[in-house]
Amino acid sequence: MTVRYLVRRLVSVAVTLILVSAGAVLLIDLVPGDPAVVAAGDFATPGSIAAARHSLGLDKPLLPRLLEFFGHVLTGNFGTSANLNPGIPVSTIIAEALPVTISLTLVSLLIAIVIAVPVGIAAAQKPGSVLDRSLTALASMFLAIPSFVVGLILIRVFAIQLGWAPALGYVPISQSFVGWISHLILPSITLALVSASEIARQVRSAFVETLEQDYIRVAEAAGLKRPTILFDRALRNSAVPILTVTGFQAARILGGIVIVETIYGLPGIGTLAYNSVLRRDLPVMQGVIVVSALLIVGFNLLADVVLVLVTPNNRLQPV
Amino acid sequence: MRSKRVALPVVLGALLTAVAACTSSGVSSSLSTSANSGGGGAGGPVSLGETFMVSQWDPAQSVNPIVDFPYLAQVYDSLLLRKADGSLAPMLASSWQVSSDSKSITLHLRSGVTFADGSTMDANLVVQNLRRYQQAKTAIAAQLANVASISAVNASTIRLTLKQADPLVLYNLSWSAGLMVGKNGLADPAALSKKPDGSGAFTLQSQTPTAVTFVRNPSYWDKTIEYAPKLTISDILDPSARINAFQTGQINIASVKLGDNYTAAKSLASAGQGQLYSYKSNAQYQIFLNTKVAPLGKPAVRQALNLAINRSELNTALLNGQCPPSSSVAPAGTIGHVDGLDAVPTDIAKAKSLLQSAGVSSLTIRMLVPSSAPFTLIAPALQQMFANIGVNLLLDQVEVQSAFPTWRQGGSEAMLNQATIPVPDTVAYAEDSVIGPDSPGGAPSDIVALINAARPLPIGSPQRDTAEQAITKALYNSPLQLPICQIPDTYLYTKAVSDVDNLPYASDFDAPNARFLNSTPKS
Repeated sequence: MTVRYLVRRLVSVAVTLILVSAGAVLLIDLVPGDPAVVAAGDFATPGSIAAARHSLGLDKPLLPRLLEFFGHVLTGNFGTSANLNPGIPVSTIIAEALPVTISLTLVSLLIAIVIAVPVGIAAAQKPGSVLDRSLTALASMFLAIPSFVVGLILIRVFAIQLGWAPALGYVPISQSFVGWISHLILPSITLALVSASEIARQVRSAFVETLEQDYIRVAEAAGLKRPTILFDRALRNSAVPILTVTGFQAARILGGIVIVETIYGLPGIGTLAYNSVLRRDLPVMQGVIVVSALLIVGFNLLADVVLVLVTPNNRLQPV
Repeated sequence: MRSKRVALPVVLGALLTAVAACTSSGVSSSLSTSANSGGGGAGGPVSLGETFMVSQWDPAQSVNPIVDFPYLAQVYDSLLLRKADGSLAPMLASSWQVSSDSKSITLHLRSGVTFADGSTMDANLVVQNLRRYQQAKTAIAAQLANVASISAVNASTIRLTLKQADPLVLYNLSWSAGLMVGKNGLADPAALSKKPDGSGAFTLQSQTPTAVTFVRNPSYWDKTIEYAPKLTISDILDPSARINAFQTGQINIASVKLGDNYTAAKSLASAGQGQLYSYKSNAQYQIFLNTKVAPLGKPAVRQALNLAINRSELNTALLNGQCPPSSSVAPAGTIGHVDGLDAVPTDIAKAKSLLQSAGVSSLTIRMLVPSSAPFTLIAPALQQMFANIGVNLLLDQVEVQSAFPTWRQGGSEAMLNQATIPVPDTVAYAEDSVIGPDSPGGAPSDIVALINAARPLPIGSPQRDTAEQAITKALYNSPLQLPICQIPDTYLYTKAVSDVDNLPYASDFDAPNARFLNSTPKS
């Protein structure tokens, strides 16, 4: 059953990627401006514009262009950059940016979970209590504050005033773990706070429901310690909604990277997306769109797989 | 059961490990070190926060020389040096002569110049470089368009014969058309685009998508100057991020833009957390008009639009009071500048009357506007000012990089942008903005005649000054484009940085050559 479920999910991923790829090609025809004119540079001649149009494949009809692009997606060959780094393969440029974004996403997700689970459990202990209301209000507040505002506040306090972490830049983990984490900590918290709020609310409501179940009362009556009840029995049985919302949060975090990477000067996919749009680098734009879609469906798929592995019922009857 | 409980952390851990493996190649540190701690003033490392990134390392393949030059100029030397005060000085050419008819330039080359590939400079290599630029399919070819032939006179002398007298060729030899590439670089342009082969004061140490780090070239030919041991130029597009990086010490000099991060920079300077330095740039914010479009072809209509602009208001309300109003194509500091040609005062009544006399009762103009500050601030204000004389200004936002290429196709009616020229000279301005690609409608024959008369005259001669002033006056009285104000080029820097007033090209556009920062003369 698990295999059949996975195959179904993989087919769905493939369909999504095909649609996104088609969108990436069509987008170029829909947005104003001529990418060939920009690629030819400030002092372009009609000849150099025609050459740029040809090298970008824009002189071909839509259908062959679409089919050609599907082929490129399958082989991972998105051509070479037109403006950002002319002549450099887009796959190379994306490969350099990808670890930054994946690092940021995973650390953000980790921070979100680490914050959300204890907060949600604490709030669920006594629904309606001062603690519950306070934590729920705090979560609502973080949901309402845009990430760029949080980012600017964190930079002001922790980077500029306290000097605890750098304000921008990135260091690969292979170079220095401390450098890596210190450069990621503020942007990750910026992205994590909204997700933590969302996950905490889900943890709270799942726990409130679970803690009212008869088997929890039986466990309490049997004299099991509270931590055992919470983390062994209740958490396991509340896992499905929590994991579902966590999977969505990975996609949400990826959606917020353009702003956060720009604010923190992180050379990831978000910055690449911003620069490629700003500088009208068509091949890089297309590559970034497809890779971003791949990341999002990949994280969702991962969450689904984990869900199946963690919950026996799901493994038997995947939704 | 335990294995199920730990599934998520295990998966996350595995992914983190995979990321660690991925990051072992390619990306290196960017902005990771404190740039202004321990620098100790002149002689220390420099970390400059800018708003652009080098696209590749071959001058001939650069489609945007303005933004590539500040990076290329660290690893390559040009034949001549354009000093910060605008004058020309020897560089790879130790001296030069212009013939009496101004149609030939002889350059005497320096000896002992070694490139990164180990090759040495001689006349044949220089000729090869210049011919390659002439044949390039990029903007660099235009810089040598007036050069008819290039030849080696002997091993250390070359001669450029010009199609017509054009003193601006000398200035172009101090810019990208003068950058010399080594023998191996010329032989393999594909490799050159990825790795420079120059003889500059610095060598390339590392490059990331957002930062380039150079280190001092130990075998540099010029032993009279000690350059900074390290120079990092970072592309920090976000204006707040540039200020944040400055405050945390990750950069020690930051580019400051009006209507963007100027206020924050000024506050820091006032609080003693940095210093500001502004160049009086020759660049101006300007409305480019397409005179091919029927009503804009009428001088009275252009004059009316000129009179509708309240330049003082734009400066004080939107541009931090730092953009001196100007209606002249030759602002102070430019050859051809005329004293007393102040900004045209706003005169709504006269503007309306001019429109009436031109038979224009209703006029709608579509204007391209680059989608960045301060253009996005100025454009709506202009919309209101033109509305005061009954002109409907429609704004079409375009990406910054798209604006000029789109404009030069000739299909647009107007564009708000910077008029930037690498040489502070009215003829150089006119070559682009009056009779060149930035003026799709061209210019009236009397203006063209004035430009042709001024072009061959030697720069610095009273004759050229007079001839260029005639162009300036003609364009002031009957404008083709509408200058708004003179853009300063401003930097926020710490005490760890010296020579901020010694940035070649800082007076021409906001992409200067930073190689002299923290340099010290050797005894």
